[in-house]
Amino acid sequence: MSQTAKPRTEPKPEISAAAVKREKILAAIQSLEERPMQVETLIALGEAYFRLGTLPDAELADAAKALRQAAKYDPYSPKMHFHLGRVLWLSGDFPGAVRAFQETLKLAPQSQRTYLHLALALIEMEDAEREIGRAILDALSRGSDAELLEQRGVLDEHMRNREKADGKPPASQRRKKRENGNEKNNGELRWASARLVWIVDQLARPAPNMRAVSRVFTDLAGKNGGGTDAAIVALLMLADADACGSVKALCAENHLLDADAPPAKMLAKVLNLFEVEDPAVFVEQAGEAVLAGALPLALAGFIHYNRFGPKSQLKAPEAVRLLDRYPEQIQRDPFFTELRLAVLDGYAYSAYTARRYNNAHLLWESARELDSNRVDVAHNLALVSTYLTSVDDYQRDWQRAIELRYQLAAALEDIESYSQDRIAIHQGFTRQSMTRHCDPSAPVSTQDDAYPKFIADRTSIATWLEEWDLYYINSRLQFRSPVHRLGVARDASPEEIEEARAALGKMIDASLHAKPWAGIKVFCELANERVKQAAELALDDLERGRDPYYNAEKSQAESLANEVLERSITLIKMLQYFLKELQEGRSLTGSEMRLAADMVRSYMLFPRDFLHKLQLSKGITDEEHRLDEVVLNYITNILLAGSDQEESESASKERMNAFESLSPYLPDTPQIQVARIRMLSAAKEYRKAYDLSVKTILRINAMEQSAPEDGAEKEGEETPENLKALKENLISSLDHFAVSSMNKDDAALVRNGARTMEDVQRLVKALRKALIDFPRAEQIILALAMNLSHLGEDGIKEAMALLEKASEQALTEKSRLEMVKMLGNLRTEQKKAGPRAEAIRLVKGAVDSVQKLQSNAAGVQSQDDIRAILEQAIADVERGIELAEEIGDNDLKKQAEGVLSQMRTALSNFNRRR
Amino acid sequence: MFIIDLGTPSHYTTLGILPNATVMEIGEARSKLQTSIKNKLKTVQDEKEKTELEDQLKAVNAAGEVLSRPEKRKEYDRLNRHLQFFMVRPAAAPVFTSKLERLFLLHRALREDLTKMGCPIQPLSDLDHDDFSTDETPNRLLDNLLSA
Repeated sequence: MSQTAKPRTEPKPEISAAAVKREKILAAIQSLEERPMQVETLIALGEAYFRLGTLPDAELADAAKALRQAAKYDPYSPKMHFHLGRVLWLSGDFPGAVRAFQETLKLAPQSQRTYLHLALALIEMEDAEREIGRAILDALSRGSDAELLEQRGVLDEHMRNREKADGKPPASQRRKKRENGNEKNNGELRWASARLVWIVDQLARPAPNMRAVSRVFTDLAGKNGGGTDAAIVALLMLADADACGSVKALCAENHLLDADAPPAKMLAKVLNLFEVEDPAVFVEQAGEAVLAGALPLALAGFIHYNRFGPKSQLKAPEAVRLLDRYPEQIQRDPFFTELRLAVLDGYAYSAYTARRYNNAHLLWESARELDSNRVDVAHNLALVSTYLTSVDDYQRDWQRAIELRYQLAAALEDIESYSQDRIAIHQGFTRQSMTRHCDPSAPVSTQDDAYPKFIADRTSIATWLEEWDLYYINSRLQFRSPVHRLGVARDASPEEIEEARAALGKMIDASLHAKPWAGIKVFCELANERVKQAAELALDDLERGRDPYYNAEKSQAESLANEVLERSITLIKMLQYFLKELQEGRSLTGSEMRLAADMVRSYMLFPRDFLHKLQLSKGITDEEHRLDEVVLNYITNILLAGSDQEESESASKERMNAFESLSPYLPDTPQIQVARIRMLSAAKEYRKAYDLSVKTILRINAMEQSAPEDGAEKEGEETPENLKALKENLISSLDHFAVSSMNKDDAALVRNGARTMEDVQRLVKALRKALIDFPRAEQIILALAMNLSHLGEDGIKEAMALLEKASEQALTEKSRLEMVKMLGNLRTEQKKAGPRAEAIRLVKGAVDSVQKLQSNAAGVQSQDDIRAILEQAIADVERGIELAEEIGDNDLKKQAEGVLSQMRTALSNFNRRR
Repeated sequence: MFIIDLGTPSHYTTLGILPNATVMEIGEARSKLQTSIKNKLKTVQDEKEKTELEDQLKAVNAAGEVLSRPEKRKEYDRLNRHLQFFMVRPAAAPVFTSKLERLFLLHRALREDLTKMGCPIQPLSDLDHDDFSTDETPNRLLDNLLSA
């Protein structure tokens, strides 16, 4: 490489002008904020934030934030509010946009620009607001400032009385309409595009006022430079297939086509296309025109759709094939994909309404291939599947349709997306599930007679339980008012707010988290964040006080609260039904117990204090009685009933699972724990049963120690006698669990005892193993210690160590004393072991030496030697006898005395022979 | 899941209208059905048929009563969202189902093409604009900082 070669540099990324400007503005803001807050600085800050919020590449949320700051610093500048309104419109917050434009008009009451945008925001809202928006456009098209002012008053009145609005335009507006039906143009239109927007709005109406449109069209055409606007209007009119004739006439009247300007040329081109009858020729010419840039694809597309789409004479296959004739380049355009989808959808809808479900299905399937995430296609497919296929098949399609609504909200990171759809579908399935057995016009809580069949229909009842929870969650999340979102009163305490937050979070996690839907975890995070935000706002007194959505959403919140109440009563009544069955002698099956547990879990997902207050307010309960405690009482009885009887392993497992699932809610009493232990044991979960037993025993010990000295009991608590009995029961069950977990042979050995040393060895091994998993099974400990003591000094040592440790952790005084006693015995045994061993050694040694003499194995020759050996042997045995006597081992002593007698006889005989 | 019943009637199906029907359309539908049923009632002989027609008339009146009052309609829609839910819905993009959206899109497309042809036209509103430098107000303090 040459010495003079320049080092390679990475190409610098291009920085946009907007980004540079942003950096400079942010730096300026920082500098301004360090200054003393005088008027000059405040206005400069306002302007700085304004420029930040109106940068071309600003994210809408950031732009809104910046413009709010701008309005804060310079609240008397109308442009701050105007642009905030514009950004809010683009963000989809039309009510917010309206408020911002109203603020603008307070400062600039003559601004037709603001009126235009106000109208555009109103048109996106409900009927009443849309009506006002249209009236504003009418006034704008006439340039009538007086009328605009009037409409502003109407809007202000309407927004104030929004809750009472009956959907009709406010009275003052209706009067004005009657009086001024024929008001002529009497003002000055200072914002030119307002007239065009008015025309667009007119054309968009189901029954446009074509006379008025024609009049305005003629006005536009007559103005200098107005030919362009008129041509644009004509082109817009041509998007509607029926307008061709009237457009031609208007163009001819106003000589629009005579001009040489591009709009006129485009208009002429489009009108020529309308002359083409043959679809294939139309496609050819339209395609060429689009590729040549003579007209936009959107215009060609709409004309094609109107002339050769679902409303035309063409059959579906022809219409679809026709689209394939467009040039490849056009077919690749995203708008063309939408055109294709619109054609398929239109034909599919016609087939569906004509009950040609197979055709509809095929067409929507084709639409799905174009966009697999189109919610409405998935919805329609699920609907038509319901007519065509079985439950197993159509349920897949419905699951997909539901999944998409969560997935897309998660992808957009916007909980509000598709929220109405989610509410509707879950409400739909809830209602569908109950109408099979209950009358849909009456509350379920009043239809006790229907419960047996409803509950017996497992699919329907499970759906009813699950879907209602999902309906409820989505209904809560859609509220904008924080207190309504949480479901608390406006004056709720911080504790109530926190309880509601926690309960709703739990419900979201319990009902949604485990669903096998794409994006569900993200959805749950968004949902939990929304709940958290609501709690934060609700805890802030100022925010809670100025909650702008509270009143508007109040009736909806009250309706939902009533549904919660109805739901709670229904669940209680269903549990009562189960109890009644038990009282009448029927045992519940495992699945019924699980169902009862599901009902209780559903009930417990509500914030308990809130629900209790609600029930109190409706007179369903009183201060003395809490229905959540009643519910827990019911389920405890349901799950305990029959638990002490033999039942199948599967039923036992169901019962246990139901119990476990309710463990966060069940009272933590020894009785409940004993029931759980019993179930675990029946389900052969010995280790779990053991662990819980030990825990319960220790707890009872603690309760006994803290019992009042006067013996007075607290209401609801167990008596000392009961506790004692429970404890004893539990302690004995520890050994039972340990033995039950052994293999058959070992268990038999434990029960029958060891008969031989080989048995002792095996038994010790089995017991050692059992104590690893069940270290506090006391009878096992004692049995091991006893058997170890048969295995010599090492065995005794191990047994003593075992008993020393176990006695420190003894579960009762009685068992501790037993262990201490055995330990004492072993210590004594240990003390005796040495002398015993010595005595045995002496006696055995003596016997061996005499036996060797007799067999001449010792190789002894002289008589004196023989005598000496005999005398030594006798001395050894005598010493052994002494030792045996010292340790009190009478058996050994007796044996040794027998040996001694024999030896003395032998010596005596020997002496006689000599 | 369980068997879905798609035949559950709603006030909308009773009147033969779509859930997004206007107040005028509701009134017209109700009126038309009332007239038709009343005419039939004048000539019907069979008692059973007469009872059925009377029930139908009650249902039509009830449906009209609820749907023509915005607050009642809102509450009904809220409680019976599911009935509207189990209906086919337009899957095409809004530009194909909403005239207003279509017209705004068209105007944007025309603007784009005509600008390329050397005939620029103004957007319909500031919602299609992104350059608001003309709305900036000169401010000496700020402008000095920006030019520094």
